[in-house]
Amino acid sequence: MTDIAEEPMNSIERVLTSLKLKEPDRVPVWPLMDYLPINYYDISAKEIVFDPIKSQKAYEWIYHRLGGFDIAMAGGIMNLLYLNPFPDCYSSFFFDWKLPGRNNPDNIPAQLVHTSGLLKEDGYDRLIDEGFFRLMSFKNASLMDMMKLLKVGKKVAKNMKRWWNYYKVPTFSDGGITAPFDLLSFFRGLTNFMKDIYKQPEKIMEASEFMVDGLIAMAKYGASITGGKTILIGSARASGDFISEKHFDKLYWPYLKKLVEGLMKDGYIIQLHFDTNWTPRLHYFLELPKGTIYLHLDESTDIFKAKEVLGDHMCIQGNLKPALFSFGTPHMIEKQTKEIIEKCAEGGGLIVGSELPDDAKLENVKAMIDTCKKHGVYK
Amino acid sequence: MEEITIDSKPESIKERNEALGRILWGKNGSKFSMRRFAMAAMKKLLHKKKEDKK
Repeated sequence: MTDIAEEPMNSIERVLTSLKLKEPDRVPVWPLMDYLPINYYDISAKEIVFDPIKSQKAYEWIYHRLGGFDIAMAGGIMNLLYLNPFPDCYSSFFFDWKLPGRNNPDNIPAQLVHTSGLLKEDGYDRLIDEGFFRLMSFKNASLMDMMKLLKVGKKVAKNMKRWWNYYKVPTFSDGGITAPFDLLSFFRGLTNFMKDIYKQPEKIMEASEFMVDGLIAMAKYGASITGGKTILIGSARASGDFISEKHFDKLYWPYLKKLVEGLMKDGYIIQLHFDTNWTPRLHYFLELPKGTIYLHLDESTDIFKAKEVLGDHMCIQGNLKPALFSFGTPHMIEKQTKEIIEKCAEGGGLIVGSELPDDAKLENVKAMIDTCKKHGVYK
Repeated sequence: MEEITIDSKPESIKERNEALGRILWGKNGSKFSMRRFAMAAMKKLLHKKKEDKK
C-alpha cells in the first residue's frame, strides 16, 4: 500500500482550477476505471455493480495502491447506471444488457446485445405523444430494481461524500445522460437511424426538441439521488466518424447546446464524455458557455488540435490510448504523457487520463500518474 | 487563490417532475413521481403477464 504524498493543492482544488482554465499546482490525472479492481482485489464484476460497500473499498484500495489520483469513481455507481429506469443507453429497462451475476457470469463485466428497432420507422410522432415509457421492458431488470433505486442511491451518495470530504477527490459522473441524437440512434438501431437522417430528418429534429427538457430533468434527478454536483453527457455517434457537418449542424448541435446550457444554468459541472473523432467539429464547442465544463475526449480526437481550438475556452482531456495500458510499457506511457503535458498544459485547462481497459497493468497506470506528478508541475 | 464554488443552485422540483413526466408519458403526460412511475410499471408488468398467458 502506497502512502499518498502531500501536495500544495488537494484534488478538488486542482481539478476545479483546471476547469476554470487556470494553472493549478500540477496537471490533474484521471485513470478512469470501471471493472479494473476485479483483476487486482478480491472482488467480482458482480460485486462491482451490485455491492456498493465492497466496490467502494476496492476503488479506495486502488487509489492507495497507485499513490493517489485526482478524480474517482464512487462504489455502486454502476448499479444506478445499469438499473436506471429512465431512457438511457445504459438502462437495462430499455436495452438488452447482460449484467454480471445475472445473465452474465459473476466475473464477466456488463455487455450490451445491440438490438435494433425498439423504435419503429413511424415511431417518432408516437414518442412525442406517448413518451418512452411504452418502450420499457422487464426482461433484464425488475420492478424490485426500480423500487431499490433510492436505497442504492443513498449508499452511493455516502461513497461519493467520502471521496469529496475525506479524500478531497472529486467524483465525475454523479448523474449521466445520453445526447438526444445518440439516444434516438440506440432506440432505432444505428443502421435504421442513419437512413432516417436522410429519409426523415425533420422527425429527428422534432423528437430531439421534445427530449431536451426531459433529459435535463433526468440528469438532475440522477444527481439529486446521489447528492452529486457533476453530470456526464455521453455522445459518440455524431462525430466526424459518423455524420457530415451539414447533418451535425442541423440534427445534433442545436439540441446538445440546449442541453448543456440548461444544465450549466443550474450550476452543475458538466463532463462532455465524447468518444470517437470530434476533431473536425471542435470549433462548434466554442459556442458553449465558458465555465464548469470539461471535454473528455478519447484517443480518436486530436488532443493537440483541441488545445489549439479550445485551449482558451474549455478544459480538455486527451485520452492516452487505452490499449497501451494493457499491452504497452511504463516507458511508452511516460513518453506519451510527457508529450501531452508539454504541448497542452500551458495556461491550465488540461486533465490527463485514459478510460482504462479492465486488464490494464497497474504499473502502466502508475506511470501515467507519476509522470503527471513529476513532469506536470506548473512553475 | 480565487474561491471556486461548486454548489448547484436550488431547482424547481415541480418543473423537473413535469419534464420527467413528459419524457416518460408524452407531451401531455402526468407529472412524475416515483410512486406513479412504480404503479405504472406494475400495471405494465401485469398486463404483459396476462398477454403471455394467452
